[in-house]
Amino acid sequence: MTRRGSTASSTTTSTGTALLAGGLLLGLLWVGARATGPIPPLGRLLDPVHGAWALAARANLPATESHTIPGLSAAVDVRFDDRSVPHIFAPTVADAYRALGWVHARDRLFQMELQARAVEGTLAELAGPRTKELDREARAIGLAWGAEKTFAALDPQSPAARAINAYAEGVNAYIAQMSPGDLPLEYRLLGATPQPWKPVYTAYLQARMGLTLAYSDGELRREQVQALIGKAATAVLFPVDAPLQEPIQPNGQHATRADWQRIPAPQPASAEKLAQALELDGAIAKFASLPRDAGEIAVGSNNWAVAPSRTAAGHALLSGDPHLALSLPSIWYEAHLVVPDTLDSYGVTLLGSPLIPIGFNRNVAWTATNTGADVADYYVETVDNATHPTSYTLDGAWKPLLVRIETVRGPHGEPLATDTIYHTHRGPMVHSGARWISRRWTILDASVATALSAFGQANHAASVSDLMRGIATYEGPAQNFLAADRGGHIGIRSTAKYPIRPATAARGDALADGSSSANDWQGWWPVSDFPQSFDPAQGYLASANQQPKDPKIDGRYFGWDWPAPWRAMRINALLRADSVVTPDAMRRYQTDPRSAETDIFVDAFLASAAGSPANPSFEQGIRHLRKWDRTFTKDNEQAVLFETALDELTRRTWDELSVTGAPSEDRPRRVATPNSMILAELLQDPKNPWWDNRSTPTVVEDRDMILRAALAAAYDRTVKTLGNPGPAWRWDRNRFANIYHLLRLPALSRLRIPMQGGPGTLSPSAGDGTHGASWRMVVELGPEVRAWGTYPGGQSGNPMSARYADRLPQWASGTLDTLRFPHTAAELRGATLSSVLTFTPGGR
Amino acid sequence: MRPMRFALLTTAMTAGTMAAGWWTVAVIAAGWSLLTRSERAHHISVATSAAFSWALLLGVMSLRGPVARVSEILGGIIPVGTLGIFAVTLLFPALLAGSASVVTSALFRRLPADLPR
Repeated sequence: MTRRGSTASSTTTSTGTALLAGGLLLGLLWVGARATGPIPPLGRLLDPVHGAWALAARANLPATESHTIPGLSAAVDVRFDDRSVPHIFAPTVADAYRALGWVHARDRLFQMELQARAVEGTLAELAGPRTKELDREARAIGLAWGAEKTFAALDPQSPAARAINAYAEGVNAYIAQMSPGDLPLEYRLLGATPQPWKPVYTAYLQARMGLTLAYSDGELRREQVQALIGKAATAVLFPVDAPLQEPIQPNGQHATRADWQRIPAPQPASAEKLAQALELDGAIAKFASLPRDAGEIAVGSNNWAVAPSRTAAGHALLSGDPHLALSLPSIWYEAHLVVPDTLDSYGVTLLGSPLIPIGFNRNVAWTATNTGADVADYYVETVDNATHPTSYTLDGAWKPLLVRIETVRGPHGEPLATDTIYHTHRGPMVHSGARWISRRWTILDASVATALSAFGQANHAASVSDLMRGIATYEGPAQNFLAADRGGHIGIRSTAKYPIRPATAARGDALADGSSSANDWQGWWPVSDFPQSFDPAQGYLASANQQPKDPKIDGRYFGWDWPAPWRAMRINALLRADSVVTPDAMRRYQTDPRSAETDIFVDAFLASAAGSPANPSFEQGIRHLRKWDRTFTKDNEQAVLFETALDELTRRTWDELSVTGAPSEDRPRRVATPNSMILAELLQDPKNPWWDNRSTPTVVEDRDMILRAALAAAYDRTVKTLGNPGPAWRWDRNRFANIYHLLRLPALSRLRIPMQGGPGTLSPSAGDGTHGASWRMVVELGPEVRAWGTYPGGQSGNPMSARYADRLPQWASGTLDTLRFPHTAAELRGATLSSVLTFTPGGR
Repeated sequence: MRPMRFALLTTAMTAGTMAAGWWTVAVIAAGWSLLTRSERAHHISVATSAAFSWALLLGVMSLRGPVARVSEILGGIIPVGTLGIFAVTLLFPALLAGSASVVTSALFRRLPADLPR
């Protein structure tokens, strides 16, 4: 046996090398265990067994597995079909919710926690100081405060409380059973671990949906516009009643009614008033960090139902496609809950809640679009101290303010920011310029119990009337609930708590004086007054976020600045023209490439050419618009010119609404933009002073001059950007859906997805492409309910899984999957079955 | 390093990673180095063994799921590319084990002991 000298290593390892190696070792241990800037802890990430590589083993559903959930009354059988949809067969409703909580957590745990933290204002504890400002805003809005208040008021024995608690037990059972290899990628990237799921998070989710769907700061923006152009012009540019009437509640008319008004000329602004109004920017930003002028973003939920008398098979049909901000993982998760003789519902669930807000059972199908009613009012308060108030005036007396101290903390519990939030009896206040402004908002009072109860009723409903009775107590965010049943009935109702405002006070679209309780809300609309319709003579119902009721039928204030009804006009036109509607036609309508908007504006551009002086760019533009078939199909080469022309027209027309802002702003900004329906209204008045361009003081422009200039500029801009007309102008090379991962990591996102549809089509694809149809569903209520659907994403939140974004190609092409709706677990077998998961009672 | 010893060390590192995680690579490398500090150029063998053990684990993982998709995503996040992430994943334990080995040798160079053979 050879023996080398005992000092061999000492001769080969110099002190310098050893020091270098020591530094390297310490550095590697550090970056292995701790995040370094944007780089996650490398050791924990790269570990082939416990790190991100281990997620490969979780990418596919196991053929069979079994787990325990404490509190189960008996075994629960969960069968995942070939689309990875869990069909949960449970002995009790609570057990079904426990199982759903477990599978939600397994597939989407990070998303669930992120959503809850976004409301709670604790994102920085997960993601670090970069999210500090989001947390401060969330706490200032008071969403979690409101949700906790309503949750605390919940009777622990109520069905809602039992549902929430059962669901939480399922989520926590999964978290307790997780192995290190199960940790979702996002936690690994952030160097974090999941926190236990609190039942109140379900209430947070409800509040979060309220922020998404029922937020409005119209009073603040309206005050700015009024200061800039005067009350008369504001009233027509941002009207309470839409000038194009195609209401949700049918008004007996068989075509869209135009109630065009003349738009009064802008009044010169008072510098003092304007400065005070612009100070409201602070309040707008503090109440919610939305863009100051979001303009007409391409959102557009639609739903419609057709009575058996107008369908080919003689069965009621229902279609729903709620449009929301798109994300990966998707906001929705498909599930089927079965409890013998009690529950048999299929649809999409929200992560964090056990119920099915959009779906169908054996008798009824239901879906919803956003109503957009005004359920938030703003009050100027009088406080005792401008910087550190302790009380506010109400009816001549000083009332103490409720004070919340909110501390945003980082991942290690370190305080990052501390804010004092003041509340009047109406809600939280913000300081804006010299004023304190409070907000009363139904969402802060909306009970999670009534929401769960409403959807619970829907899940169990046997008919449209049964369903509508159940959801009548739903408090918000306001939704246009549409339903159809196997009995051939269809119905729609815009449901929420709508405030009754005092007749003597501000209407709801103006800042109110907070010093008088006479300006407070006086109660709630009775359900009988809600916009609604059941089995109308026309044989169909449709909603697309338009003004719900014709003001000639009910003139009460319900909201203002309604989206242009282009989508409503288009779907109603399609349904009027088709008396033998099929499920496939319903599917095709969802991505119909035509827009009612184009007919008005293209005709105006074409008409402006008559007698115009020759301008080569304008002539080219007209030539292209003439040959346009007015569709937004993927291969269309003219749609992009039209969209650019509309943008140029908007910019040139509404120049009076621009102000020079802070010194940091390098160019004037538009305070608000009237929607395209108002631009169409202005088209009716060729000499209106609004057509005049302020930047050309020596010329007074009229409508046709602006139309010609806009089209010529649009043509030049398009050529400059895309080159000469040709394939580069194709719609699918210029407008895309962009679906970002929740952490906005490009590697986990799906960007630049070519889409059919443009502004004003039923499936709008415009702007930055981050909004779109979040779920598409068609249901036929025949002897056996048949349904089709898809959403942009996949069931799994694991980016390594083929189920992460497997539905995207189908969604982008406008096709739908057949949704499996088995009566028994045994019906799912062979190729239709991908995994069997069994839960038994037990565990901690 | 003899093949048997290399295999033994690789097995130890594989087992350590499986049992307790990535950091065991450094601990096992240090322990091994302490016992074999008399060997010439053993640091490189230790580093190679660490990389080999993780390559082995990645191979096993590829039988259980889509490792290629994981590399595509991780390589996009880090971002070093699909092949780059494999390289980083193997380089990380190699450097960890190699440096631990060098440091241990330097710290314990005056001790006379060696593995009995």
